[in-house]
Formats: sequence, structure tokens, C-alpha cells
Amino acid sequence: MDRLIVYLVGRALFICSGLMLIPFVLSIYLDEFSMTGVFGEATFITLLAAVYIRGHSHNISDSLSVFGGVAFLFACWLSLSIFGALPYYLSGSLSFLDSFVESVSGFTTTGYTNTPFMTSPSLILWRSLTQWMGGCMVFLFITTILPAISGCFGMSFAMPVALKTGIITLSRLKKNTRRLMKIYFIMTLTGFLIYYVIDMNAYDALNMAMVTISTGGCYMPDADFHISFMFGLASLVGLFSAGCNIIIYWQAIKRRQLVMLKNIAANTETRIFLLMIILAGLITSIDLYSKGYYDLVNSFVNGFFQVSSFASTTGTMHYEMLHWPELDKMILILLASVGGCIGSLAGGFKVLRLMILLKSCTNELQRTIHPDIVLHMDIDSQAVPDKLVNRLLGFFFMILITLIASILVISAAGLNMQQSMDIAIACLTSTGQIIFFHTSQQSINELPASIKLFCSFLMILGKVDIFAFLLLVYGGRQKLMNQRW
Amino acid sequence: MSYPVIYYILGRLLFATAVALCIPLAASFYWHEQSSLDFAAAISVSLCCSVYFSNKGDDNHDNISIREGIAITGLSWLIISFIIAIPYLSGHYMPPVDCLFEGVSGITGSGASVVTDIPRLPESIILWRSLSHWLGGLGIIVIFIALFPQTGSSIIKMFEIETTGPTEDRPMPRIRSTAKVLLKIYTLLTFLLTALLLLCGLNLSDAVNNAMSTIATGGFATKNSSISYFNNLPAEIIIMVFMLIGGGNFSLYYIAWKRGLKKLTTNSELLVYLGLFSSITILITINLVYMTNLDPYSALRYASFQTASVISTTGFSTADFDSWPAFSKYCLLIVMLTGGCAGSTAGGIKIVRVILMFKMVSSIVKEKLSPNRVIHTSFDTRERLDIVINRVGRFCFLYMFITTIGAIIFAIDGLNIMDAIVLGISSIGNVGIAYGAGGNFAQLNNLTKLVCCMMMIIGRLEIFIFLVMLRPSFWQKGASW
Repeated sequence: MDRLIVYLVGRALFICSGLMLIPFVLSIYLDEFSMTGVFGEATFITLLAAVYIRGHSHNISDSLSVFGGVAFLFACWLSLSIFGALPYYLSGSLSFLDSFVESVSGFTTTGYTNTPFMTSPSLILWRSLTQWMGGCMVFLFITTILPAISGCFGMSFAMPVALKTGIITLSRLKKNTRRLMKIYFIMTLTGFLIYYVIDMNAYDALNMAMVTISTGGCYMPDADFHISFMFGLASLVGLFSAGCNIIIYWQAIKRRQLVMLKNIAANTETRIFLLMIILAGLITSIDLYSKGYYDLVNSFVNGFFQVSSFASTTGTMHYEMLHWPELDKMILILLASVGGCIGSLAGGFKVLRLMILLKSCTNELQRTIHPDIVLHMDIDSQAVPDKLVNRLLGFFFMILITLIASILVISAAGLNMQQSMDIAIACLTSTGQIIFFHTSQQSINELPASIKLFCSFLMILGKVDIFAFLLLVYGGRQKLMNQRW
Repeated sequence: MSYPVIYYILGRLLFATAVALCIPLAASFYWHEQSSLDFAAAISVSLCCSVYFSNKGDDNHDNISIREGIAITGLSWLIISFIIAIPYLSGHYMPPVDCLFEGVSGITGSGASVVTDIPRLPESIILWRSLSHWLGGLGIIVIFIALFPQTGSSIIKMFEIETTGPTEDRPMPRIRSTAKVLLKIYTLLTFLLTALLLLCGLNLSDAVNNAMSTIATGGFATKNSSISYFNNLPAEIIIMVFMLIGGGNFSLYYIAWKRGLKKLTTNSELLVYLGLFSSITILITINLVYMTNLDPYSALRYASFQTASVISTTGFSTADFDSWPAFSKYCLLIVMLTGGCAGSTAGGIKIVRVILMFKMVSSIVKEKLSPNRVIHTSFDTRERLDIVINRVGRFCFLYMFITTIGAIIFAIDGLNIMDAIVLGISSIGNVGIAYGAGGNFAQLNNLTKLVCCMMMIIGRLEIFIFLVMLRPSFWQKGASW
């Protein structure tokens, strides 16, 4: 095992224990002494583990191989999820397995929840914090580790030259972390302010900002929550910005040129994403209105709010929509499967990939008539290499096979076809709300432990890509074969 | 695009269709059925069109380009679908949209039937349904090339457009002899199956109809409850084996016949096909035994028949698969997607494409772990697969894309999500069975039926051909380079 991986995992656990202090402080402030104990213990255990791990990581190398990067991604998510599950477990409201699933769904920004509705505020804050940290991790990995692993699937294509280098070095990780945290903080703060201005209390606004920016989406402000016009607008902006290419923001900050932000508007991918949202939003709103679910204004607010929420794979909790017509649910599921722009926090297949594939298909039509034709393809006046198209086709197939295989495994638990498909798509695209489209909380709780673990695995897979997993398996096998026994 | 050539060949094809229509006509005379008039109507329409096209056409077709080849193949499938629907329409057996649906479903080998009470139809109409399967199964063009002398080398393009899947094994050097050989095997297998079914105790008309339907992997049955009506185990096993044969590569059979059976066992596509069939059968059997109260023997019986029926995209049924557990239904859905082998009468993505995609993925993984390595993909004896693989990848992508679009339209038309998706996969794969509300074809809305027809033809012509025809620039006159 690479020492550097251990070191980095240790650091991640440090941050995790640091974050646990926030609900700890809140519980003291709210005089919830039981929760104070819970978070105190959890912080202590996590800190202990972090210190122990740090103690065992001397003379580390300063760069990771591709295989090491993949191993780190899995190790990081797994260890964080295990320690992140401690507060749920210690508070006694969930079994350890359920806490683990809850924590995985938080850190992968899936936003599936199993906690009782009226549980303590500090635990809910912890849930939002895990989502927020998960979003932060995705954000960090997109600019550091992921380009080296699955960058060949269009991510490096959309990236500036500076980020394209393959080697993952410690100094780059450190440098980028600081810069990224700055952007992430700014985004969260802006979200918080917007929510705060449109009469929400500070606690709700903070939670809402954290779950919308990270595309987690698992938070209910209060029991009877109606999507008012302003609230809908605010979350729409937040969700849309989370679904866009974050690398563009990154560049803007790095070069201290806010003019760069106008690139967002000039980007074809963003435009198509916007177009998709508008189209799907119109269909959904009209459908909702014509079937008499809401009045005109409310159908549009609700329709567009949920469409953008699912397009950025956030999946905001809203119980009313569970009774929506099938067509709207289908559109939402499809939007979640497509996901946001490449380089965003969202899960799913990504708009740019779909765009390249569709464009290459129209080229293929030309080839049908002229078999020896040499065709050129470009997007935003940037040439798309043939190699990229080839890889994307492979990637599409991988996703398809993963989806089919995972549906098959889940359906073995005795759910019906629709339910198994919902769960698989929800886990792979990290849009937790889809799980509840056709399945009750009750029947999910009754799932066997193996299926729950499998779902957690799918959630992690959805964040680090199936390709990374294949690398892990293939590379691991090679390592084993090359070892001298 | 040179239109006279297209008209000429279309005219001849329609003449051939009129000849084919004489078979059920003769049958209706023999059985003294009212339906003879319906066939006469179809024949006269077909002949009129044939004369019209022949008059406009020109025999000079030595240099058909790919463009004309695509136009001929695509148009002939569309026009013949309409001609096939005429007997149903003129006899008022069903409403107009249903007639078209039945016609398209017949010629594309889907076997999705909107007829709710089959025995009420005249025998000759039932024969015509099966015959439309049989004609469409191997391909109209292939039969046409084999039976009608064609001059010119360019006929090869039409042949390649119509055969299913990316296959290169052509048993004979000349395209006409290839078509003849294929037709010979096809006819031979049909006769063999008819004889075997007769031995199992089916009556002549059931045996002939089911034989044609099975070899063409169509799925129109002669009874309302499909094959389960006969409740005849030997017949089920025989039909199952022949469905699997229908889903295999017909050229390969000829090659194996000429050069020894070893050719069959070294063909990786066939092996994967049979392997997939057996593993899915086993999975479904286990699932049925555990989740329902079927005994292992009948579970195996139903599972194997249903899997064979779906993997070869036939669509016969012996059990109520719609009430099976979700796991079994998903297993069936997987083979519905993959379909049979290239060069078969089956639909779906085709096994060879799936294999190639897996090879593509593994080469991407290898490339990532050792970036400077040169990866060489080969399949059986074929090499230089780059362009083929890319095309296959795009095919898979478009296949899923069109399925999704179809499913959205079905959902808008009122089906629920899962039924819409399964109906989409079933239509584009020419399978002919679907689950839930989508499986009850007679009750579907007209819009859904029309979209299904579109998707069946898109699936049968393997997507690109159909999409190319949608481009306006394709039909421009004079542009033929």
C-alpha cells in the first residue's frame, strides 16, 4: 500500500473530526446533552484514528500513480463513511448498517435519508455537513485526481491546459485545496445569504445552502414547506450553478479575472444544459397544470424547481412530488441520468459526453453514405479527437452494463422492476430522492443487509466512476500476478 | 440519386410481392374462404404500383451507389409493410392503424399482434401473417436477389444493407449465390421444422404457420395462448431449438455444412450466444423455484422456452412471464437487448456487437494503466477493427437513445415508466412481447402503435439506414459521388 494514500486518508479524517465539532458546538448551544456526548465521542474516536494513521505514515512519496489515485478515492470515501456513521450510530436512532448507508449517501451527495423526521437539529446539521463535505471532496478530486484517472472521458477535453497533467502530486493537492476551499466557501456563503434574505431562519438557510451547493439535496426546512416563488428562484440559481462546469469558476478565481465568468454563457455545454432544463421544465409544468395538480404559477415554480433540482442530481426532498404523474417522474429520472455539465459536482452521464456522442452519430450517418469519408468534429471551435469519441462510446457502454447489472442484483431482493430501476439509478447518479418515487421508506428499511451494502457501493461507484473501479480491479489483479509468492 | 433505377427495382419488388400474395389467395380458394377477395385487392394494388413504378423506371442499374441501395431497401420495407396490411384492411378484421401495426410487426419479424381472437380470423389470413414473417425474416431483398435474376455488381450493396449485424462471412464469392444458399438453408429448415411439428401431432396448418413464424423468429401464433395452447412438450422443445437456430448466423451454418462442424465450435459469437442462453435460463429457473411455487422441472421448462423465445426475439410464450418476479423479468430484458447473432433473422443489438464493445472497454482499461502500450483488438480471424468498433459503439448508443425517445413518447401517451421502457426495447428489438400494459398491444393508443411501427422498422433496418433516409440532402437529385 502506498504510504501517501494512508497519509491522505489520515488528513481527510482530521478534517472530518474537525467538522464534527460544529454539531458538537451546536448541541451545547441548544442544551442537547445527549447529542453533545454523541458528537464528543465521535470526534474523539475519529481524531484518534486520524492520529494513529498519521503516526504510521512516515517518509511518504510525493506523487501517486494512476492505480494509487484510484485506491485513494475508494479508501477515502470508505473510511470517511465509516467514521461519519458514528454520530448516527451512537445516537441510537439507527443500526450500524443503516448509519453506514446514511453516511455513504451523505458523503456521496446522494441525499437518501433514513433518519427519523423529527430528530435532533445537531444530527441533521451533521447530515448536511456530510453532504457539504462530500461535495467539497468531489470538487477537489475533479481538479486533482480524477483528471488523471477518468479525464480521458471528456474531462480533460473541457479543462484548461494547466490541469491536464497526469501525475498527482502532493504539492498540487495542497495548493489546489486551499484555492478550491475559497471558491466553495464563497458559493456556500452566497447561497446562505440568498436563502437568509428570503425569510428563512439562519439554521434553515445554512442547511439549505449546504445541501444545494453540494447537490446533496437531503434537507427539509420544516414540516409544511411550500415552494414559494422566491425560494424556488433562489434554489434554482443555486442548483443551476452547482450543475455547471466548476472548472470555469476555478479558472476565474485563479487568474483573478472575473471576466472569465462570461465563458460560462458562451459555453455550448452550458447552453444545452439550460435548454434541456427549459424544455423538460416546460413539459413538466404543462403536464402538472393540465392534470390539475397546481394552479398555473405553482405548476411552473414546482416544475422548474424540481427539473433543475434533478438535472443537477440534487433531488430535493419534497413529499408532494411523490404523487406526481408518471410522465414527470420519468422525465426527472432521465434528467438525473444525464446529469449536469462535465466538471460539475453532479453525477450522471454528463451533458458534454452526450453532446459529443450525438454529434459523432450524425457524422456516422455521413459515413454510411460515404464509407471512406474522413470527418472532423469540433465543439466550441476545439477539435474533438477521434480517440475521445472512441473512449466515450466505451464509457457509455460501461455505464449501461453497470446499470443493468446493478438493477439485476437489486431486483433479486424481491422488489418489482420499477423499484429496482429507481434504486439503481438513484445510487449511480447520486440523486437519492428517486428511491422514493415508487418505493415506501418501509420497504427500503426491510431490504436485506447485502442489498443495502451493495447500494452503498453503487453510490461510491457513481461518484468515482465505474472506470476507476475497473482500473482498481484490473490493476489489483496485475499487482497480485506480478508479486513474487 | 438516380430515381429511375429505384423505381425500376421497386416495381420488380412489388411484382414479387404480388406473386407472394398468390399463395394465401390459392389457400383461400382451397379452403373456400371469403378472404380471397381481400388478397385479390392486395394483389391488384401491388400490381398497379408495380406497373406504375416500372413505367417510370429504367433498367440501367449497373452503377447503383450506396445511396440508391439504401433508398431501395428502405423504401421497399416501408411500401411492402403497407401492401401486407391491405388484406387485413380490406377484410375489416381490424381498424386501419391496427392493420398497419400488424403488417409492420409481421414483416419485421416482431410478432406483436393486435388480434385479440386469432381463431376467428380466416385460415388464409393466418397463413398470410406467418408468410409475412417468413418473407421479412431472411429479408425481402435477399429473397428477391436469390429468386429474380439481377444484373450488375451493385446489388451487393442492397444485400449488405439488409443483412443484420456487422458480419463479413459470406459463404460464396458471388452475392447471388450467397443469397441462393441462404434461401436454400432457410427453406430447408422451415420444411424440416414443419415435418417435425407434424410428427409431434400438430395439424398441418398449425405446423406450417408455426414453422414459418419460428424460423423467421417472428412470433405470430395460430392460437390465442401462443404455444402453450398445444401443451405438447416435444413440440415445445423442437420449437425452442429452432428458435435458437433462427437466432444464429445462417451463413455460418452453410460454412459448417461445407467445411465441417468445427467451424461452429470455433465461432465465438455462437458460443457466447449459447452461453448467454444457458446462463440466463439457469438464473431464471433458480429465481422461479425460489420466488414462486413452481417445481424445478416446470420452472426449467418455462424458463428455457421463454429465454429462447426472447433471445432469438421470436416472442412465443408458454408461461405467463408477466407475473414472474422482477429478477426473471430483468433477465429476459437483458437478452431482449442483446438479441441473436449477426446474420440471423433475430433483432436486438446482436451478440457480436456486445462482444466488440466489451473488447473496446478492456482495451481502454489496458491503455490507461500502461499508456504507451499499443493495443491490438482482434475478433476471431478479423483484424483492423477500429472503424468497425466505433460504428458498433455508435450503434449501441443510438439504439439506447432511440429507445429512450420512444419510451418518452409512450409515457406521454399514458403508459407508466417501466411499461414504456420495456415496450421501447421490445419494439426496436423486434421481440414482440412486453410487460404490463405495454404487453397488451391491442389496447395501446394509436400514437403508441404508430411509434412502435416506426421503431420496429428502425430496429429491423439497423438504425443508420433509416436515419440516413431522414436527411433531406439524401434525396437530392444528381448528387451521386
